[in-house]
Amino acid sequence: MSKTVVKVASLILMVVSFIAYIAGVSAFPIASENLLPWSVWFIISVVVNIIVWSSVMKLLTFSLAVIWFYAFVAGLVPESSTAINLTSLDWSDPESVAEQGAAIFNGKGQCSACHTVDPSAPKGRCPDLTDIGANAANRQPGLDAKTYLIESLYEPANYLVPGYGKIMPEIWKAPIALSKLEIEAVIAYLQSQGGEIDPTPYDEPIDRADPGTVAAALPPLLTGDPALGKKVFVSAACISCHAVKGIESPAAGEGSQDFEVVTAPDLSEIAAFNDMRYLEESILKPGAQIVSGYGAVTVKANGATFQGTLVSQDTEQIVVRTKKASGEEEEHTILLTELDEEPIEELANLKANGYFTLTLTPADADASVSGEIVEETEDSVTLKVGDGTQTLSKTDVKTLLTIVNFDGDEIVGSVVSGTLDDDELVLNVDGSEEVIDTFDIEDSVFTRAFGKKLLVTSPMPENFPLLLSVSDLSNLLAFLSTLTGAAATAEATPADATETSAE
Amino acid sequence: MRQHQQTRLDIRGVACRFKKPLLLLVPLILLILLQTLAPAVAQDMSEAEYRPFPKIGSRNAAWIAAQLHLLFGSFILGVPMFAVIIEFIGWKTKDARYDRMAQEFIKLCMGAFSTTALLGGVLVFILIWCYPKVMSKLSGIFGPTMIFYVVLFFGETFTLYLYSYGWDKMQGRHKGWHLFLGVLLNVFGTAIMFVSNSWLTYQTSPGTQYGKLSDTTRQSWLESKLAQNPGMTQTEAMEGITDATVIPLHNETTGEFLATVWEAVNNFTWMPVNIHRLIGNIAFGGSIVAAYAAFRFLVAKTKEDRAHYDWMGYTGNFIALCGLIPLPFAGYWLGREIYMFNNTMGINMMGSLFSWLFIIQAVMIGVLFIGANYYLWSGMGRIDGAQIYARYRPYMIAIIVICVAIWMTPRTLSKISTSSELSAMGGANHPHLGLFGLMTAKNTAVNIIILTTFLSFLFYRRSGKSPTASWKKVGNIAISSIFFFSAVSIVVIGIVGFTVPTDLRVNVLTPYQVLIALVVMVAVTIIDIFMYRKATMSGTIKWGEMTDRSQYVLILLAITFTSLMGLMGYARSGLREAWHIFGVMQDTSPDAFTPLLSEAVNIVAIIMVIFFALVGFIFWLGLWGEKKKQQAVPTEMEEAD
Amino acid sequence: MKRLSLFTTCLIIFVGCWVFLRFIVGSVISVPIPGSVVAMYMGLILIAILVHISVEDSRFREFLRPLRETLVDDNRRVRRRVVAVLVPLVLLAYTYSIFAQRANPPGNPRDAHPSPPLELTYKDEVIGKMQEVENPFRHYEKDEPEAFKAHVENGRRVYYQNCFYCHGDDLDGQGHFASPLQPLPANFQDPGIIPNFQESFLFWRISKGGPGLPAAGTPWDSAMPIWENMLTKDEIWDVILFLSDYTGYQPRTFGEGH
Repeated sequence: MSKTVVKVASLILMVVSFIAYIAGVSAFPIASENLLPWSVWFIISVVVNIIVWSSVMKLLTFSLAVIWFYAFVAGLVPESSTAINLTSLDWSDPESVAEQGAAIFNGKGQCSACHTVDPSAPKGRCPDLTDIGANAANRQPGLDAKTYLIESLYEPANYLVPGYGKIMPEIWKAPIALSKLEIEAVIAYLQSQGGEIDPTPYDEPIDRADPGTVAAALPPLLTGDPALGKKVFVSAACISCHAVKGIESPAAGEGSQDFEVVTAPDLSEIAAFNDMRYLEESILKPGAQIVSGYGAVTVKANGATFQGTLVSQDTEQIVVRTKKASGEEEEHTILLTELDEEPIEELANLKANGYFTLTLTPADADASVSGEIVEETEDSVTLKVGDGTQTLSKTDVKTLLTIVNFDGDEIVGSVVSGTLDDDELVLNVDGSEEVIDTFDIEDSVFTRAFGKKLLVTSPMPENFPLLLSVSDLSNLLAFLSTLTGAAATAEATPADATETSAE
Repeated sequence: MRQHQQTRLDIRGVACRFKKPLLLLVPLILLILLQTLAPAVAQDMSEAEYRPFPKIGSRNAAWIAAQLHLLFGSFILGVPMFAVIIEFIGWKTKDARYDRMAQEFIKLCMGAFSTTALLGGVLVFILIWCYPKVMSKLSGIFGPTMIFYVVLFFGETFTLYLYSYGWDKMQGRHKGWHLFLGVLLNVFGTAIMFVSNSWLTYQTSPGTQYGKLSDTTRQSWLESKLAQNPGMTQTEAMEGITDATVIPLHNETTGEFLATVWEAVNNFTWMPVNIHRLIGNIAFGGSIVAAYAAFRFLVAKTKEDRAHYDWMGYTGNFIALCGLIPLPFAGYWLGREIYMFNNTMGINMMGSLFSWLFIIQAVMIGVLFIGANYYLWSGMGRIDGAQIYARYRPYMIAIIVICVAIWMTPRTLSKISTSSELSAMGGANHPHLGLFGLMTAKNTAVNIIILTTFLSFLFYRRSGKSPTASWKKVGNIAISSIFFFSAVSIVVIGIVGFTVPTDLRVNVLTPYQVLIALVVMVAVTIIDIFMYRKATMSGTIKWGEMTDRSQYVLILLAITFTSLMGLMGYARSGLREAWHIFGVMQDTSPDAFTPLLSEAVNIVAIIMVIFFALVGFIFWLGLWGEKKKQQAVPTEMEEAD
Repeated sequence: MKRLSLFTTCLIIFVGCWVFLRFIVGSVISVPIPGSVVAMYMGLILIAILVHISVEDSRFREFLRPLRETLVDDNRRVRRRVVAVLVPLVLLAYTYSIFAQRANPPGNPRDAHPSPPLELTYKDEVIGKMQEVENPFRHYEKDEPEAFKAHVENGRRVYYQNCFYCHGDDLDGQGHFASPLQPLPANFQDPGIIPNFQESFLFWRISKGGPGLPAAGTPWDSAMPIWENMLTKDEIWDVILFLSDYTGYQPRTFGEGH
């Protein structure tokens, strides 16, 4: 009796595990870990079947095992696919599209590695997306919800939510490389978060066919020895600022004297979220992408200068953490309106230099114009003045010249005629013209405009390309790539990892 | 002896079950209707490019139906080939066992025949429904051949009926005519395969060499080329065109068909695929017979049954081996033609997209050769006096395993190595093992495996016999030195192959290796036959005294063979990538991507399960009829006891 | 001395093969063989051993005898207990070794031979079909050896001005900048590189560089620049002549007829 039970049970197990293996069903979930994979169940059941059954059944078991064996061997081959996993979207049922999008959001798209969809969750690397479906319309003036989402997914750097850095990759490029259909599904999912799903088709704002845009233009990846890289990590004083679980950090001041000890991101799980290219870029060009909460700023407000770490930032205020010589830390909340306007000598790369407002006087006007910088080109700048915008030329502006003569007197006025190379120069100072002898000028400063400035830089030294040899760098990268954190690696076998990166 | 009589009667019982040919005609008529209607229907529906097949998708549906159709097609092609060969042997040696076995299998073929027709109908249905535009294009080009196909199908059907039902009636005086019917059946079957091969090879390689084209086609090709390149003169267009240049049979911009039906049929890969499949079918037929015999051996209750099915398994495996040995050569020719047709396709196949498939193929072929040798060695256990050859076995195992290892070693190891291993190797290729990944090493390994397998067979043949010829010593020395020097020269050519230009290697060295292997087999067989002509028997073959393990090996061989066919079907079809007709008609359906190897083999595994379930059912029908017959003749049973 | 049982002999052969592949071949004679390839070879060796012992019934029984004795014989109780402890320990060690390797990142999934496009282009100009394009200067080799020599010399100049830094002064892929690159620069002295490809393929790889690699098999991390932006068409053809002239390998051609 009991033998019959074993016979039937093992037969059922064999058939079920065969089908489950072929269909790629995931193993029995127990808590967060998986139990034995189906291949092991299949082998066990085959062995039991061959022992307990007699001739015909034994033969069938053997045949099935051979068929399975070849499928198993083929499954061991690591491969990259040209498959588009999503072949069509069924817009008659938007909810199902949103579900597909959610799967991509949490899976292939790797969005959930940085974005949270839970207002109570601790602040992540990227903005929380709760109710994004409704909020999307209010993010950027002039863009409706769908257009905003399309722009954010294809060209994430165009608009950054205040307080967050430029760290989102272009998800349509390798290694994530989502197809158009997949991005559509993700948009549907995002819209379903507090909004209406809008199934209207759109054109991609990018050119997938252009190989230049698709292939990453960064230098090649390097390989190295993680053990040596760990030594580099310590000897190059990375450890002075960056914490890594398992490596003891020397106390402040004990490390290399060349660097100021600042707070820098914990790198214990860095490789779980970022690819090698990002790590490489972060070492070679520290300022390219700054993790929010770790940027260095120098701001002038109410006459005082604050130099420290930018803790947070939104549309109205910033929080700067400064450190006194005694080591005591202090946080300052500064309203953006409190920032001082700083004189600007050259009207170039204003945004890149951190300016967000501008005050200037056009050459043909008397009154100055002041407003937030909306757009900037090589020779013009668009300001938001009141409710409208105003585009001003960068060259036709009244220039203030500040002159200090050898007596130490300071004269400020706009140039009427002459240049510094002539013998004489006529300045308009408070309505009256003054003639200046150019030989009596000790120092002069042109001021073309004033602006409020908030420039976030990386506190990390920029001399690593000089400091590290190529092999140091490759070893360091190899070491960093091992920092995946225990929790992140337990689920992905090496084969899985290969496949994900291939897609 | 009585037992044999009974078996023969039992076979009649099987025959009773197939006394309703009209039933078989139903699917056949369905198929013919579909075949003739296909062009017209497809034309009508051509405005729709694709229609999705519910649940599993169009590609998977067409894939499963096509592969099953092909496997059953191979069955009804391979098994009759086997039957005719066996019948001929039986006729010549006057050994009734052969004749009986051949008849038993033709009966089994009848059931498989209707299944094939049914699956063909299903396939045509799916293709017309899911891929109307492709079918319209293909039927536009191949219309006449489809009519020819139907005619051949009729021919095959009626010849099969005559051959099968006339078996007992035509014994004795008419045996020669009966054999002629059998050959005719195979001619029909082979012709049918050739016709359908033309369709699918055309999809892969819609081009022919310039030298093979007719004058009118040459003219229309030239006109289309001049129309595409305004300002080009006729001399410029003909520049660099030799008889060997691959000429597309279509206008390259409009896709308009320029050539004749025959030129489309006789496309670049048609003949290589024909030959490859023909030889493959012989081997497949043999291995299916051997598997059936193994199954009957394992369930057999009497000693006589075991003896009979042991002998049947041996014969089936022998025919399979005869097909298996030349098969790599035919495959090599096919691969070479694919490279000649389109280099990109060739690189895709061997170096890039499908390179890992050939590692899996190497695993399967390794299993085939190791299994075939295992069976031969096991078989020597049932012959007295075979023990003297046992001492060579470990060395032969070592040679085969080393060769299989070389064949299985991938050229590029980057996908299966960790980064520390990669940096230790200094790249994706291992400095020494990487050499095993090149074709010249693999070709050498295959030739050595084939020679070793032949040697195993030679030992088997000699077991239990002592030659009486006066020159036996000289003969043995001659044979040993032939083996030794041929093996050395194959290896030397292989090593030289690393240093010469590829063109020379592909066109001269490798064919030489193949030639050496073939000449050795022929020469040694001739010497051996003469040496053992009047050999004394020192031991007899004790049929039935085989281990169960060896029978499992026969089943393993059959499944491996079938899986290999499924896998290579994926390769042949996948080579086109996103084209229905390569370079002419693009696949714009959602299934245009190439599935992963693991996904493909999963589908193949599903096909295998369905195929063996259906074949098992057909075998079981045969067994069932036999049992019924046994119950019906109790008197004979008593006598037998 | 007692004769070794068949089982022990097989076990020794098996372990010996592993040591041979893993350490002797893998470290002494050559560079380490990847673990996956060693595993594949060991699988074959296991099959070979099983084939050898199971062909004859008598030998198979002899092979199984020690196993049977260990499992059932009363006077083998000690051995049974040792095995009962050892087997789980070995499994445990195996599991541990797998988990301990976690820190080792997997190699890049990358094909060695990217499939070329169907058409060969230089910048945006179509040169012809990949299959048919030939090196315009190749025929000088027979026709005008002097002109051929001049082209090879020009190719040498191009090579040492541009390619040498990575591909090395012996064309063996061991240039000064080579060691940190992944994938490593191609080694033209390897018999598997030049003879396997047509000159049009080499032209394609040189002109398009790393960024021009096809999407299948991504990510590609090749550092090879897009040379068509720096070199003229003729310079690329010349450097191809130089590559084959220097190494002595002829690029792949397709002979006429069969």
